[in-house]
Amino acid sequence: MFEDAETRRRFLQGIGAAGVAGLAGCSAEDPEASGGGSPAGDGDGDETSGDEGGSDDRRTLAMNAVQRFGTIDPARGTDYTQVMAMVNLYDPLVFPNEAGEIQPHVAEDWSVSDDNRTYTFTLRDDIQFHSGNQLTAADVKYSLERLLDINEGYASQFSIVDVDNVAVTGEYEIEIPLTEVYAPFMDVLVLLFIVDSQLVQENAADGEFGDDGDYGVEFLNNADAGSGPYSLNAFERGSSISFDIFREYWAEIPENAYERVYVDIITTDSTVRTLMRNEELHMTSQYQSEQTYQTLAEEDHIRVNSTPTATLLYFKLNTQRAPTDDVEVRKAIAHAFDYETARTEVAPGSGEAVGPVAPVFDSHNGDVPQPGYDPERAREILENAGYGEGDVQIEHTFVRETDLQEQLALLYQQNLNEVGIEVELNPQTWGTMTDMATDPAQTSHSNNVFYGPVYPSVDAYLVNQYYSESASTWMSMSHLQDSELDGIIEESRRTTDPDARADLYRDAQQRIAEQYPEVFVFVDTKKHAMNEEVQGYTYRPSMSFDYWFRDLTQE
Amino acid sequence: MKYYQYLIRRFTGMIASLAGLSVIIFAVSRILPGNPARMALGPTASEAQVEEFASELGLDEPLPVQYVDYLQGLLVGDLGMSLQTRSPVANDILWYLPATLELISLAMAFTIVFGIFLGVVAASDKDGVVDNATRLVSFVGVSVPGFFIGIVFQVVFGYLLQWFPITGRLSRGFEEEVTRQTGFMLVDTLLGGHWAAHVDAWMHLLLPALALSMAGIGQIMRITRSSMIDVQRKDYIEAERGLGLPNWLVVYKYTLKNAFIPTLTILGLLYASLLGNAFLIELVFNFPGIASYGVQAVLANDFNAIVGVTMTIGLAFVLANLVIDLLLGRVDPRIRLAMEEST
Repeated sequence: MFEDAETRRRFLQGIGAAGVAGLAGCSAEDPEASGGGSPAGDGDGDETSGDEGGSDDRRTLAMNAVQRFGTIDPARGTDYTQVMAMVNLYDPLVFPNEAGEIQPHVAEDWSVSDDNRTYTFTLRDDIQFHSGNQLTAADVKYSLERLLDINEGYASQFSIVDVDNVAVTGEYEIEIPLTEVYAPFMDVLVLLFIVDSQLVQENAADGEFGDDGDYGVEFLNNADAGSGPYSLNAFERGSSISFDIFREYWAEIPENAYERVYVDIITTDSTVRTLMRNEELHMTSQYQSEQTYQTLAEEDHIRVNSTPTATLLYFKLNTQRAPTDDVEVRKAIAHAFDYETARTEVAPGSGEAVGPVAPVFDSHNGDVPQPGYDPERAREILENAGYGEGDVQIEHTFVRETDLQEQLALLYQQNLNEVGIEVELNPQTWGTMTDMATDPAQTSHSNNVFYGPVYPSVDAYLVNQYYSESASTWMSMSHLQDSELDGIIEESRRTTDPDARADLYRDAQQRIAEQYPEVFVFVDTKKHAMNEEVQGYTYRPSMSFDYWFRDLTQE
Repeated sequence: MKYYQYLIRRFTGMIASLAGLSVIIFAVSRILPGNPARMALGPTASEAQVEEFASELGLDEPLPVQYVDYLQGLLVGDLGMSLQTRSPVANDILWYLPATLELISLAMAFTIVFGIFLGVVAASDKDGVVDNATRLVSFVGVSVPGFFIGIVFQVVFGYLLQWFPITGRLSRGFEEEVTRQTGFMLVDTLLGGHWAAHVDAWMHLLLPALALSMAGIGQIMRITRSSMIDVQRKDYIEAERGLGLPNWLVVYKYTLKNAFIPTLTILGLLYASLLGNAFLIELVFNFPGIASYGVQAVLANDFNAIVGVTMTIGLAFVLANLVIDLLLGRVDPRIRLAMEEST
C-alpha cells in the first residue's frame, strides 16, 4: 500500500489537506504549536517547530537507544543516554580525541601554575549559546559552582576543585585552583559541561540554593541551555528526543552533517529490525542482540560497524574471602579460563585483553603477565599450593537474564570444573550485585563486571577499581588492599609530567596483573548496525563521546 | 440493605483495598535489592553523595516513618519524586496515563465490537462453520501472548505491506505541530485542527490496540456465545419466535440483552487488566504510556515511580469493579431489587 514511511506521510497529508478543506473555518491552526515538552514542562506549548508538520525532508538521522533519557541536565546526568544528550547540547572546556588525548575545545589554551595547583584557561571569544548569549568565563564559573552545589552527576570528580577561589580574571579567562595537585584534572574536565548562566538564572525557580533558587534544576531537566553543535528540538522523555543542528556553532560543521537527529527509545529487537529494514531507523543502539546484528548485516543497505572500546569484561575475584584470598587460587583460575572461546563463540568480535586497561590508551602496558588457556598449568598451580581435587569451591555472580553473561558463566564453570574447581553459579539482579559489593564478606568469590572509564584516562580504571579507599563499590568487587599499589596511584595523581605519569600507570598495571585480582576476559566491542549512508562514526574512549553527532555525515 | 448503603459499603471496601495495596507495594518497593540512591546517582557518585541523597529521600528513616510520610503526601496528591526522570511522580503519571488510556480504550472498543458481534454470530450458527472459525480465532487470541501478536502485526502490516507505522504515537514531522493539551493524541490533533496528524494518530493506534485486544476478543466472544446459547433455550425466546418476531429483534433485543450480564462483568475487569497487559505492547510499539514508564521504573529501582504506577493500576481495578457493580444494577433491575429485598 505504501512503499515507505515518506509515501505514507504524503498520503496522510493528502487526507489532512482534504480534511482541512472540508472543515475550513471550524478550527484555526496554531502556528506556534509544538509537540515538544515533557512532564515537568510548563505545558504552554510555546516551543516552536519552525517547519511544516509531516513534511520532514531535511537530512535526518534516526537511531534507537534502549533506555530513556532520565535527565538532560549536565549537573545530574551520568548514564549513557544522558551523556549522549549532554555531549551534543553542551560544550566542555576540552574534548577527547580517538586516542583519549585531550584537545582544546571551549578553552583554546591553558597554563598550569608552578605548584601545579592552579589552572588558567583562555577561552575562545566566538562561542554563542543556543539562546544567542555569548559564552564567557563567568558561565564556566557558574557551571562549576552549580555542579558542585547540586552535588549529583559528575560532581564527585570535581571535589578536588577549590571552588571558593575560582576566579574570573577576564571576560574569557578563568583560574581554577585545586586543593591539591591532581594530574588527571585535564582529563576529568571533559565532564564539565558549560551552561548558559544567564538563561538558567532567568528560568530558575525557588529552591534550596539561596539566591540561585533551584539552580534551574526543573528547567534544565527538560530544556537546553548549551552551546553544543546540536540544540534540543523535542523531548518526550519516555519515547524520543530529537536534536537540531546549531548553524551558528563555533567550529566547522561538515557539509553533509545531519540537520536533525532523532533518538527513539526502542528496546525490542524485533521492532528495531523492522524499522532498520524499512529505513525508518538509520542506526541501532550498541545493545542489540547478536542475532539482530547478524540478521541486519544480511540486508543490502545495512552494515554492522564493530569498534573495540575502552570497556573490559572482568571476572572480579574477591581478594578478602577464602579461597580466592589466596593469590595462587586466583592465578589458577586465570589460567583455567578459555579466553579464545569466549571471544570467538560467546562474544564474537571482542578483543583480547592484556591486563586491566584497554589497549586504546597509549599508557596501556602490553607486557604484563596475561595468562592464556592452560588447564595443565592451572592444575599444577593448585597442586603446588596444596589444593586437591574439589578443595576449591567458589561462587560466581552475574547479572541474571542476560544471555551473554549466562553463557560466559557456563563456560567459566565448565573450564574451572576441568581443573577441579567447583563453581556455583549465582545469577542476581544488578541491584543485588551493587549491594553485595558494599561488603567483602557478602561479595561472591567471583563476579562478572563490565567497566569502562567515564573520563579518558587510565586513572579512571586504577582509582575506581583498585585504590583501597575506593573499595566497596561494584567497580571494586575484588576488594584489593595493596598499599604499594595505592602509593603508585597516588604518585600518578601528583605527577603532572605526562610521560612520567604514563610510566606510573604502566607500573600500576604490572603490579595489578601480578596479583591476579581479576580474570581479564576480553575487551568489549561496540557494535552498531548502520544504514550504508551513515558515515563518520568515531569512537572516543570516554562514555558516549562517540555519539557526538557532529561526526556523523550522510554520504 | 438500601442501595445507597450498598454503595457506601462498596466505597469503603475500595478504600480498604487501596490501603492494603499501598502497604504491600510500599514494603516491596523498599526492600528491592540495590540502593536506589546509588542507582540514581550513577557509578561515579561517592559514598558521601549517596548517603546525602539517601537522607534527602528519607531512606535513612525507619520503614513505618517512611510509610506515614508517603501516606501524608498521597493525601495531597504528592507521590514523591521519580529518581529517574527527576520530576514529581504524580506529574509523570498524568503525563503518561492519557497515552495508555487512549490505547486501552480503543482496545476495549475492539473487544466490545468484535467480541460481542462474533459471539452473537457464533451462537446463531452453533457448531456451524462460522462457530468453528470463531472458535479458532478465540483460541489463538487467548493462547498467543499479545506482544507476540504485536510483533507479527509489525512484520506483516508494518514491514511487508507497509500499511501502518509501527512505533510511537505520531510520525516524525507531525510530532512538532501538535500542541499537548489533553495528552490524548486523537483529541489534541482535532483541537489543533491537524487533520493529517489526526489520521496519523489513528494509524499509530490501530496495530497496538488490535494486538492488545485479541485476548479480550477471544474471551468475550466465547462468553457471549455461551450466554446467548443458554438464553436461546428459554421458553420466552421460543415464544417470541413463535409469535413471528423478526430474527434480528429476537437476537439483539431479547436474547443479547439477557445474555449480557456475564459479558459486562468480564468487560469491566478486562478494562482494568488491559492496563497491566499493556506493558509489553507498549514496549514492542515504543508507545510512551504508563506501562512503559512502569517498566523503566522497575529496571531503575525507581521506588516512588513503582509505587505510583502500581497504585494507579490498583485504583483502575477497584474503580472498574465499582462501575461494573453499578452498571449491573442499571442493566438488570433484578439484581438491584434482589439486593434491596435481601434486607
